[in-house]
Amino acid sequence: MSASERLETGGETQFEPLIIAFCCNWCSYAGADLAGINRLQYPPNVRIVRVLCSSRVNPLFVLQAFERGADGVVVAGCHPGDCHYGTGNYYARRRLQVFGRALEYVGIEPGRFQVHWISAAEGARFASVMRAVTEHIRELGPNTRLVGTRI
Amino acid sequence: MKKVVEELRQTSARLLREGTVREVIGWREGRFFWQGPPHFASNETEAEALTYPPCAAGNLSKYLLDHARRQQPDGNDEQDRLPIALFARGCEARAVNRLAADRVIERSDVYLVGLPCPGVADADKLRKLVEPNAGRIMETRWDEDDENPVIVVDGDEGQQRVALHDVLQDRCLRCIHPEPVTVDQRVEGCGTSTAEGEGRFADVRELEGWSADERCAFWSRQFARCIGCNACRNVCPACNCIECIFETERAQSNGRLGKAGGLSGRAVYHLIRMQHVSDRCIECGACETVCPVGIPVRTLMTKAVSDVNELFGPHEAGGRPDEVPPFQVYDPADPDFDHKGE
Repeated sequence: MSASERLETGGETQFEPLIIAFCCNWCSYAGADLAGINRLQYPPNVRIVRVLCSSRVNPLFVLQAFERGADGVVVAGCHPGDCHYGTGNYYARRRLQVFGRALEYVGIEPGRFQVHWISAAEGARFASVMRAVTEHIRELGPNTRLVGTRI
Repeated sequence: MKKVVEELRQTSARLLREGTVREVIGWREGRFFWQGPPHFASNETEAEALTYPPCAAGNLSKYLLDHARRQQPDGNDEQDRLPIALFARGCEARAVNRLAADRVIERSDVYLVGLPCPGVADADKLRKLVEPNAGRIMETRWDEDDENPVIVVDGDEGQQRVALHDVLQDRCLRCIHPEPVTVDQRVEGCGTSTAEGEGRFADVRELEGWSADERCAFWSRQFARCIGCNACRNVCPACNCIECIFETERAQSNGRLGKAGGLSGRAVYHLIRMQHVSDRCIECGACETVCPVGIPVRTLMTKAVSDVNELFGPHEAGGRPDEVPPFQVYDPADPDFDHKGE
């Protein structure tokens, strides 16, 4: 499967980024579900991977997503204080902030990796966040800095 | 440093002779001047080979993973309970606390012979100073002065005396803990190196000032040199997992993080190791010293330490054997991501 598809519309081609969103089952995934139920559109560029909690997301997942063709990676979890497991997202918040800064330190463009807190009731917000992420990544262009050459 | 070395030797011999410890871990002369290999002495005769080579690099604490006990034995036999002695500069003492806090060694199984650290010589800096005058370096030894250690260098075209302070490794220039934080015995004598120099995170700040393009180009070049030897991981006191993530089936399968992982595999290795040590790195710089291809690993690892300090409050790892690293706790009022314009 190709990493990013080029859509041809009326002779123009547009870069379509591939974005992997790790969404926690209880809040952000439910929020995505709510968006769907309410027929709120968000770009098909976003491919959701459901995890039970944002703290389940190993930074290795993020890096390997980029290696295998992702142009952007999002981690979406419950709002701090509302984690289904009580404290998971507090740990995720600490670890992923340091990790995000590490990515920028080695030259990955800011905004390729983002973390958002989206509740189960925020269907509209899920859609608008994903729209904003997609546009940001589209502007950044394809990921060329962490590409797997042997995968 | 001659007096200091003599005191290290005699202290070790006495500890072994009196049956205070079962083994002493220190350094010996290397075959080449830039080496500082370890030495394990179990009796007085073996203790005679102990010394402090000018380029005594690495971090001896690594050997505690092999030689020290995870917990004290149950039996009543006193002989079984003898601890193992370790020469401890600032970095080794904090490394022992790191290993004890991570529960991979029993702190009481280690007898620390503390050595206020004068610093370690950088082989490349030494060569640069000496080769124009004295030719290729054949041998180095300490001279008498302990307060300001001087290395006497025999080259194949002459001799030169070099002050240790002029050829310190970069990690010594940034060290904020040359004094061992915890000791069971202390060797007096020499002055310590210290960051009168450049400041704890000087190299990190410099890179933070570059553009993303410049940083990408820099680190791509560095990671491309990596041969995947894992020396940085192997010598690191924070890297002490029984099964390292890079040794798991998942990491190795399909060649992802093994030899066949390609350029991205090397970048992933360094970034993940950086993440794993972020809150527990003691900034000893052994990772950078042991790298066979000269990757500035410490400049990468200490970036995470700097961020942990900035985000979660002042923190220096390795201060106590029961410390709790910042990633293992949280505060509901922690700083959050920047979600401006959302």
